[in-house]
Amino acid sequence: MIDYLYNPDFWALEWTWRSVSRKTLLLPIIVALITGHFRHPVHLKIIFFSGYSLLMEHCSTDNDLKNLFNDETNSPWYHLLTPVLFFLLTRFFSEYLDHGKYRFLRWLLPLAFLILVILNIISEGGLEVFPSKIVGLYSIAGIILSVGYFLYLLRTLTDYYIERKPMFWVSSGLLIYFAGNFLLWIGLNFITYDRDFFYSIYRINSIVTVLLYVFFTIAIFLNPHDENKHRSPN
Amino acid sequence: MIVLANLSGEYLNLFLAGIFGMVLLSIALVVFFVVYQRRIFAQERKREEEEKAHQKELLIAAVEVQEAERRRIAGDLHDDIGSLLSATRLYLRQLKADAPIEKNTEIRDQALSILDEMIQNTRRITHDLLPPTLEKFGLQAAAEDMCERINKSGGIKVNFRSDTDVRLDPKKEVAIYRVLQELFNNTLKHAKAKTIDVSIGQKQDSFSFVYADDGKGFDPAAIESVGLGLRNIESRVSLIGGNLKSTTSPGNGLTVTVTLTT
Repeated sequence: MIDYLYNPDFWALEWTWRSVSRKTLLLPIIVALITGHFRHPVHLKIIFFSGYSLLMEHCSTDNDLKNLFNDETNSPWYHLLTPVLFFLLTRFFSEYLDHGKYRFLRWLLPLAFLILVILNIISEGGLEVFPSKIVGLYSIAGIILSVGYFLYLLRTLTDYYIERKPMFWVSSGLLIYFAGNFLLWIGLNFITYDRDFFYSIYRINSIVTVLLYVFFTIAIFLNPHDENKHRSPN
Repeated sequence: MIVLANLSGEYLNLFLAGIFGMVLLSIALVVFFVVYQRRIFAQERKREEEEKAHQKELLIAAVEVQEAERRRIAGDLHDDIGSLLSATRLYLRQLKADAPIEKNTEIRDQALSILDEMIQNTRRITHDLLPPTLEKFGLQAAAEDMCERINKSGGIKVNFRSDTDVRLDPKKEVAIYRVLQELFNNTLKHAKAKTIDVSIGQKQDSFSFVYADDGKGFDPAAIESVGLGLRNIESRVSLIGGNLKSTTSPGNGLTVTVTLTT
């Protein structure tokens, strides 16, 4: 596998992948505008999340490209923008976070995350160091919240065809996305010491990003109001 | 600090394998959730169908028992009251104004005697339908009364024990009384038991009724007629919101426990 990593032909597609993944972020928004599916809370959350991710990509990655050949870093953007992204992530799971005895998590999770971000800035060398622990935590939280959603579905058993629910695609996409990115983000501070290697391995992020936004697009296509379709065949 | 690019290919392979492993695991997890959810739904549907079938069985049993009860009452009215009324009518027809006084007196005495018998039979029938003891003094007294009557008939010993005198809701008392009647009926007909133990008790708001005989027992699945009796009992108990537990097997008698909240 390692031989492929150092094969220049293999990595020739690197920027193509990044470019494709960037464009995919627009896909759910475009489809929402075409289909008119942007009034339901789940659709709105997808649009907000995609829009904010686009903004974050623009700020962080574009800045990174400009500074590709000098020592400047895009890390401050991640420190500043990740807490809001985390808040938007938790909002996807309001179906089970806003009810029951654990509803205090609705505000506690984003608040705790924000505090951890601040503590991380103070203790890990300031804004210039990439917050790999924070994005690692963000991905773990994403995995737990997605799995939590599936467990919630198993507990409530309201829908037979869960694949016809937009939230199923959102949760599946997020689970795969965070599972693919977890080790990548955790190890980012080590990988970035070699930029060539970093860009080559970071293509995994582009692939799972494409997958996530394709799943978001499927979720936008589905109409959550058509509840009868979700029910058991009997 | 460790720099991954400087590490050996083996470690990098491990790193990449970890990433791909996690992606594959997450995809497998999604597939598992869909499959598992479908399976749970299927089990749930099967359970609901079984529950429906069981409820239907209980309903059929209740209707059958009701029909049997009606047939019995019709039989009692026809055989006892009907025939006695016909006989009375025949006697009264013989009464004539110009007949000798002795003859008329004899006819009147016969008619009165039949009427007395009719009153007794009517009392017996109504007692069977709803014993006055049950209405006036409650389940404990009515159950004790029934146990005594069976004891007096000989052949089988019935032990009765009650540690409560709390009156239940009339509907519940009648239902438990019918359960006791049905159980006695089954034991006397099929069980060849020597002893029957009936106990009524109460702990806080939980009422319990236990019936146990030392008869031959049965396999509930194999014996349909007794099964119907038990289903009838179950139907009555479920109607009053109680729980029924029956334990029996060939050679080990029958124990039925009914619990309900007062």
